[in-house]
Amino acid sequence: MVSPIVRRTCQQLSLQQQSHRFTAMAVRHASGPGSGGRPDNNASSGDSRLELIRRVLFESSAREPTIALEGEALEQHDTIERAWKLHLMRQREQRQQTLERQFRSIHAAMSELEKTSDRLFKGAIVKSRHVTYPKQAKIPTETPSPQGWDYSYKHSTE
Amino acid sequence: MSFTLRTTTAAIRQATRVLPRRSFTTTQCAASSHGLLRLKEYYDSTLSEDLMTMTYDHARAAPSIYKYPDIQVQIDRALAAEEQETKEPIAQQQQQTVAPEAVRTRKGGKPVKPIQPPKTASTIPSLDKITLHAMVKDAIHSKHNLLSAFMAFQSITSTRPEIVYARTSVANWKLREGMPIGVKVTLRGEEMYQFMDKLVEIVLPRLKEWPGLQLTAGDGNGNIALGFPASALALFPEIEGSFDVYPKMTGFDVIFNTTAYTNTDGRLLLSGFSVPFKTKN
Repeated sequence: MVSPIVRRTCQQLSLQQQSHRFTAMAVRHASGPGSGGRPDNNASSGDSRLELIRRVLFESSAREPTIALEGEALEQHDTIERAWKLHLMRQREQRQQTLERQFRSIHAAMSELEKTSDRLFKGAIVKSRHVTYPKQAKIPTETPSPQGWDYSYKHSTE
Repeated sequence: MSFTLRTTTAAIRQATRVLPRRSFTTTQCAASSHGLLRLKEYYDSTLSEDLMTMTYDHARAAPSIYKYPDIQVQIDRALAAEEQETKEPIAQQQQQTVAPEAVRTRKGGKPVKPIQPPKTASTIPSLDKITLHAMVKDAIHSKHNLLSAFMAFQSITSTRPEIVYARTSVANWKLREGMPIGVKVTLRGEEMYQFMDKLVEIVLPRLKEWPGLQLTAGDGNGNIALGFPASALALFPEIEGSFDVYPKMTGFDVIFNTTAYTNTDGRLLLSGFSVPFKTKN
């Protein structure tokens, strides 16, 4: 789970990027070529929705930062941030080591097979690479389907 | 004069002990579930291992597969140094010729395709980024026509889009260079997986008369693109509710940039993420 302080910093970063882009966009918008950009054209076409969208996108006021951390609270925040990043790094490294171990075992098995039997080795090599993942392999969900388990499912044969 | 001023301010700061300060905002969170990402977790736990097995090629596996790579590297270097000592006078003449892989060119100066590296646990195909792009033709006569697409993209992806400007002028279409003509969003990491989740679970199943991607899909380097009609924009949950706010729905294309080197690997990756393909059965 993402800690709330971590989430807040991410938002802060995204807001900084957003505010930077907001100012850039606002400037470009203001200084762009005036072809068809006159407010009269848009209002007369009856599309006040465009005016609303323009205001929402480019004229919403920048929010002031509401939380200010200093001293011990700041230290605590930084410690939690670092601890979370360390946790993620360890998870990542663990995953990578697992994959490498699996790869090594596949390679060792294939090398062993190559020495053992030529026929079996040729059989183990993939013939056609133009395969797709089965459609039935759905990505796991948090809750089961509302229809329940389909007991009458039959795999369509070619 | 300024030097003395600086020293006095430093002295004052030390005396009053001003602590470092950092400010945060409590802005709205990205519209999606926090914490774990469903597709990312699925990839990390299940899909990556399956893909490694399915894309394994013994003839192209990386030769150096060491359990303790740092020790093995030292051994290799020591052995290489020994070999160089014995072969030094002969090797110098041979090394002057440039290896063929170093300079690869194509006729007409066209871009050269990257060479597929040997298979390892680090070269498993994965999603690198997703690019959404829409070219709005009406923006030629009024750049305000881009606003609808801009807002739509921002709602779908929760990232600020960027405007695409025309690279060249085309008189037939009254297009001038530097004119804002399209909207583009590049998604990576968390936002990418969220968007992919929405696409795969909600939008793609509801597309009308779409059998799936072709089995020949791909740009040759493992990236796959998909185009959507304007009606597809209405299927997104963010836009579905407030349909009337958007005056003009635009079609758009989605480009899946993967770390795969071949189309087969790219297709395998996407089918693992439940993107439907037009198979025979």
